[in-house]
Parts: sequence; C-alpha cells; structure tokens
Amino acid sequence: MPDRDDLQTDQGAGAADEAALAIVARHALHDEELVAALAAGALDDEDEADDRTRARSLVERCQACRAVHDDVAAIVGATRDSATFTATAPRDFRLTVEDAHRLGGTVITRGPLAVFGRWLAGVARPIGASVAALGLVGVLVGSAVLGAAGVNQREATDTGVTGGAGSASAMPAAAPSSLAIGIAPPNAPKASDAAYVTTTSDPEQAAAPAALILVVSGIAVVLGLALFVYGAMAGRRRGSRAEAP
Amino acid sequence: MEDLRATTVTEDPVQRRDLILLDRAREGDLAAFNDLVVAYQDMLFALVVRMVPDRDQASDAVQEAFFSAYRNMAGFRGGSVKSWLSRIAINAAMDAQRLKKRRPADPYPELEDDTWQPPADASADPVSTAMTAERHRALNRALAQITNDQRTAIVLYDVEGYDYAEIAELTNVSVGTVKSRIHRGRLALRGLLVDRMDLFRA
Repeated sequence: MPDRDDLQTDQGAGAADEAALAIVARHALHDEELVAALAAGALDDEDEADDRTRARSLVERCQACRAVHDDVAAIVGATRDSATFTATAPRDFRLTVEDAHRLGGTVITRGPLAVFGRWLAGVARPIGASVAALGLVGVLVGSAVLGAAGVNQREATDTGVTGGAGSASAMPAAAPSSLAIGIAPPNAPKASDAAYVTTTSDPEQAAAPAALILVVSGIAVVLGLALFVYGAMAGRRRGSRAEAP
Repeated sequence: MEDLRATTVTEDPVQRRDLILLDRAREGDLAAFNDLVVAYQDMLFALVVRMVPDRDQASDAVQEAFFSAYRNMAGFRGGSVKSWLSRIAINAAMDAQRLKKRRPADPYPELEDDTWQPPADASADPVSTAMTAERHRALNRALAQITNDQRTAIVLYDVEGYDYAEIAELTNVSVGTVKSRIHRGRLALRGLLVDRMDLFRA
C-alpha cells in the first residue's frame, strides 16, 4: 500500500503533466508563423503594429512560443551569417567558340582579323550591292553578245562560210560597228555575197569572250549578293542591340 | 549600338569594368564575355547550390545561366551586371528545381563539405571557427530537406538580401505568399534542427 509521501509525489507529477498538457494545448492555438515573423524582425513596419503586439503577447505569455521565438531568431542569424561563406565553382564555365556559335553569337576574335571583320561588316552592304549590280549588267551584256554570236554562227552555217582570222582585214572601212557582232544592216549585201560575210567577226571568236563575261558576271552577282546579305545581317544585329530597351 | 557606359553612370570600378566587358562581348568579343564568367562563376555557383543542393545539378544550372546570359546580352537594360547575372542564375536554379521535382524519388545528396569555405578571419579562434563551420553544415543539411519554394524564399531573403517584392517578382507569386514561405520555412528548419539548437544558441 503506498504511503502518504508516494501519493503526494504522484499527485505532484500528475499536476505537472496536466500543466504541461495545458501549455501544449494552449500553444496549439497560437500562431507560430507570427512568432517566427517577430523573431526575424519582419513585423517592424507601422502597418504591422497589431501583429507585432499579438506576437509579443504570445511570447510573453507562452513558454512554447518563447522557445519558438528564440530558436527561429538563432536560425535566422545563422542563415544570414552563412552569406559570408564562399564556394568555389567545381568547373570552368567559360564558353568555347563552338558554344558561342551554337548560341547564335558572332564571335570576333581580337587582332587584325577582328579589325578586318568589323570593317567588312560595315561596308559589306554597299559594296555587295555595287558588285551584284555590275555583275547583273555583265550577265546582260554577256548574254546579248552570246546570243548575237549564236545568230551570226547560224547565218554563217546557213551560207556555208566559216571565215577565218585573216579575213577580218577584208572588212570594209565604212562598215557600221554593229557588224562587229554580226548584225547586218538592211542595205548590207546579201548573205550570198561571200566577201561581205567573211568581213564580219568570227562567231566562235565572239562567243568565247562573251562566255567569259557571262561566267565572271555570274560569279560577281553571287558574291555581291552574299556580301549584301552578310552586311544586312550584321546591320540588323547591330540595330537590334541598339533598339534593345 | 547602345553604349552601356554612356547610359549607366557609375563610380563603382567593378561595375564599370563589368559594363565595359559586356559592351565588348556584345560586339562579338567572346574573351570579354569569358572574363565576366571568370569574375562571377564562383558567386553564381554559391547562389545556385544553395537553391539546388546538388553540386552536379547546380553546375549544370550555372552553365545554363551563362549560356542564357550570352544569348540575351542584347536585352541587358543597363544597371548592375552582377544583379542581371544573378537573376538569370536564379531562374536557371528554379528550372533545375522544377526538373528535380519530376523525380522526387531521388533525394538531394548530402553536400560535400569542401563546397564551402568559411570567411577568412584571422582573429577568430579555432574553436569558434569549427563551431561556425559545423553550424553551417547543419543548416545546409536542413535547408536541403525543406521544400524548394521555402528554400528559395529563405535563400533569396536571408542570404542574398532581396526584399519581399523582388522575390515575389522573381518567383511569380504574391508578396504574402513569399512571407508565408519564409516563415513556414524557418519553422520547418527549426523542426529539423531541434536536436542541434545548442550549436545555434551558442
């Protein structure tokens, strides 16, 4: 049978448990977030005066709220202190030229090439346009010469006269310049007049430089257009950078 | 092209250097951009690895951030290059978190201790330095266990020093949500650190 002292001890322990339970039960209704905010100094604004008062009251009256307040304050302090810790990057994050190209950038290296590249980007558009226009004119002229030479050759084939290099000296002095490309004037002698026909230039000889003009002009058109497009793209890149807000 | 130095008057030599480098990078000078990378890669890695506590994923996010910065150099609006890069890195870190969220079965590995170096303080005694380092390790372990949203809000507010409105803008939520995430995150940290509070109260 328990003696009186044991009973008093049990009753005392029971009362302590009840008190602890009462504290926990009361604390369960308290707003821990509010207490955490107070601990971090997040309720310092004037419009938060009511919350601040409520949180302070909780910390003063409730032991558990006080513990939350002190713990959170310590954790916030440690978190803010951790900003002073530094880390070393585990690898080198520098971009390679391939990365830069993949990401759509134009990479200009330092040195004379870079200077030339920047100069070229600046003048590419006008130069490209001029070269392409010249090329186009060349193509037209070359085509005309080639076409005329073809006509002349057909005429020569029709008359069966091929002519020769030496026969050019027989060309009449008064012959109009248009004869040089084999176009006979209306009052010119008929094709049957072999002497006249042989005075026109050799169609094959006329076709060779015309073809050369055509090829060179074609290349000029392509190069000119390429330069123009390069210059336009470089200009647009610069423009978009300048317009960036 | 817009001259950043002309539009952004700054006396800070570091900021001026950054603007010159960025200007040259925008003209196509890759070496200038890489000078910026070297200047900020450690700082950005520290920021990202706090938000994404996995060295490999954090590294990938930092690399992605620099790629993104290179791609979007033309959109730089002036001001602090450091802040601009930080914002890009924060976005990259949040992308990495979203990627991680799809694979919840893989917890974050414990951060390696050699990731962090304590502040150099010649006057600090060894015991204090060791305790600071241990507290930092415990805190990082706990931070790795709370939710991404809470960790991001706490890191941005307490470590990086952004205010509520900036965090709300960065994370696309309301200021109230940011505050709630921070307070709940701190309570969650307390729950995880309850056995180590002696370290923090010391």
